[in-house]
Amino acid sequence: MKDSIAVDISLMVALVIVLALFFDFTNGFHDTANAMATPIATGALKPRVAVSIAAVLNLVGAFLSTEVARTISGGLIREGDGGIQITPTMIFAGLIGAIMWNLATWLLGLPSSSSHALFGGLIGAVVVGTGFGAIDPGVLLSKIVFPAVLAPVIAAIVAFVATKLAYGLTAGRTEDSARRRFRVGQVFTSSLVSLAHGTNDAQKTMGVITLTLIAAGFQAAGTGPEFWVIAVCALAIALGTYVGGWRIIRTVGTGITDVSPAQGFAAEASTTATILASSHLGFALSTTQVASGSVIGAGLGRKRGAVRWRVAGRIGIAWLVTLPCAAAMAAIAELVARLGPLGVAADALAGAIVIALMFRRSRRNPVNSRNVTGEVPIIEHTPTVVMPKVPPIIASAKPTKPAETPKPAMTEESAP
Amino acid sequence: MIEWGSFVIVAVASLVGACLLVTIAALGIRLFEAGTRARGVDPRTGRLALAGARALFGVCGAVVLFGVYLIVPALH
Repeated sequence: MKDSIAVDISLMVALVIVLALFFDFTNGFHDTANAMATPIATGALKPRVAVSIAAVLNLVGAFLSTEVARTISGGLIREGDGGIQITPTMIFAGLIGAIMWNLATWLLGLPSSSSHALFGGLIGAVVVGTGFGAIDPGVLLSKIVFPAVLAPVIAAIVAFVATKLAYGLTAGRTEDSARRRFRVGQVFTSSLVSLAHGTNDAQKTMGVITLTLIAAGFQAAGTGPEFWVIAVCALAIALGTYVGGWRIIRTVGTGITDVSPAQGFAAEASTTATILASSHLGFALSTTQVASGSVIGAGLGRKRGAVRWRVAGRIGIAWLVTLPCAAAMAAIAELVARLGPLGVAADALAGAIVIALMFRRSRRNPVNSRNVTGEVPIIEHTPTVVMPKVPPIIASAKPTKPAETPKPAMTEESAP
Repeated sequence: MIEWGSFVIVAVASLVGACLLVTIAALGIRLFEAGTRARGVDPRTGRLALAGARALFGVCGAVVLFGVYLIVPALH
């Protein structure tokens, strides 16, 4: 406890707020794929339009959510009365772990649950701070581990049946017209997923900030989030959503399977139904895992449809290690932060450097609104810079179409 | 430890919800196409089919609105 008070409390709170908002931002851009990967993949929505809709709905959703988070960890950590006190320093370290993991998985184009990263980070920091006794293993199993296994399975089954239905009922219809109408349907279902995301996820960051303010004595205990907290959280998640985690969108939209409009509609309908059912009937499931499971199920439901199990397998591994990895990084951050103000400064600096390095690394093979529907490279560690594909008959020097060079036309990165 | 009861309820509700929406949408699409094709041959049947398709699309819209209702806490 002494160590954490060593850093000026209001400075610590300010640091936590900044980090929480940055986490909120990564949460937004990590999860754009949940709602918008399939409509982008099928051409139901232009990439930029899709992320704009998602951003607006996340913004609106964040303002609509009224439920106040009572605990930071949702019961995972024995916090509050009779339990341990989660200090701002622990939250700071936990957020560093969560952000690092979110950015690392983004770099690899892997959809992983931002909530799991946040819980993992907090667990790591709290375990270093107070020992393993702070963790409730029962809650960990029932709220994280089992749902993580069940979410993709149930979503895949639902999407499989829905896809079979969609194909079966429209069999023999004029392909084009049916495809067009399924695309229209996709716009609505994916919008619902975006709205639901806004009401759920921004609220987590609001909870973190509010509980930090209460812990530091800046806000009365038992009160809800201040309006400015709601506003900045809503803006951060919307901005993140708009920036768009294109790498993840590409993996979910075109990496797992090739999605047709009928499949896309079925997958989105399944994601929507599963998320709404889970949040209203009392069995919380991760949106990310549901969305990915739906795409897999839709891939299996199509005749001759192929699921790229290698991609699916990598996603599965990412889910398994999300919590422990975020926890490990947060644990290190907490160890350093306990050294005092210098430790906290070192954490912040190291975090900033790693983030900068990851963004630099991402520029070697950029994925953006222009190439998001392209092929997903299976090997992610190619050290080469992405070369424009040069036709092999370069000597004949015919000015033919340059194989796969994307048109830098309307969807320019800087357009809107 | 794990609430299998609520899990089964969620699973069934998801399955029913998704399949219902997809079925209505797919039938609407099918009817719409049948209607457009029949219009030239038999205007009455064509009109009927198109009206049916529109009604089904309307039901889809209602399902989506129900989704919005579920998402927005202020509505319930």
